[in-house]
Amino acid sequence: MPRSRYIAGVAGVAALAIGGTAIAAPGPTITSLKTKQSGSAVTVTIATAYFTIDAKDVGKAPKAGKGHEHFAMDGGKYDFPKYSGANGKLAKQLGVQGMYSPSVNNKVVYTGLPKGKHTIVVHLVKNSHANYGNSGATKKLTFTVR
Amino acid sequence: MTASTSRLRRTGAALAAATAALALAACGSSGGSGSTAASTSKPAAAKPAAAVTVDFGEYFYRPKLVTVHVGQPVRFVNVGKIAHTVADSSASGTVRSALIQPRPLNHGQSQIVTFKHAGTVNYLCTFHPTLMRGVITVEP
Repeated sequence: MPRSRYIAGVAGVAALAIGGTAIAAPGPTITSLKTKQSGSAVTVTIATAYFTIDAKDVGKAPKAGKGHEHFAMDGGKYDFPKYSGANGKLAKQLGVQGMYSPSVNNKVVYTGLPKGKHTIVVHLVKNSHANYGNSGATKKLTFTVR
Repeated sequence: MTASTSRLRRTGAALAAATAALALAACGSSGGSGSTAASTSKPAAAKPAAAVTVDFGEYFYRPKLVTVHVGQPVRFVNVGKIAHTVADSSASGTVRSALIQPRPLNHGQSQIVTFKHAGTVNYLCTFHPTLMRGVITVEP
């Protein structure tokens, strides 16, 4: 084989290898974040991809692609039992009330939010409560309570 | 060796041991022996006892068992990479948060707690309750 053709072949294999690395599976992703108001209740719902809720292992060692969710309303201002109900109670138990409300079912219902603009931020987190670091694992939405 | 020389040597060794114990207590060593020294040494009058340090991280408290006196501070320091908390609990692991209010502590952050009454305090990380637990014995 001529030397130049050999070098081109090696370069091609290397490029394929690099390409293979580049198309590795994406990390856990929030594909949609929606709010729906019904009276004084606002239901915040997310949909995810490359992510599995692992309710029974919350607080245990991390497993790739598994975990739960942290919802933070206006920077945690409404993440108390009074506003986020059972999720707020869990937040209080964990010591994170005023920061976020944990969830294991893709939603949190907030009641009694004052009228006006609010911003919800949702993080996909590992079983250990540490955030997934990829950008798709966090989503933010500003909405209006009427 | 005369009897008096032997007695002097024994006294010197005892003094050295006492000095070492005091040094450990004063620096609030996080080691098991340091904590024991801190809890058993008697502080000088009007001087509060030195804090006992408990390091924690993924997924441990170290030392897991410490003994302090009423009013003696226990300083919990996160030497891990992710956030953890400290909250008192029942022996079986039910969070109480009556004596220690949990709050997220990131790497390098600490929380100091003291106890007003003697007894046994079970505690855990509310984020990792099955993985991280410890016990503090509070003596009068």
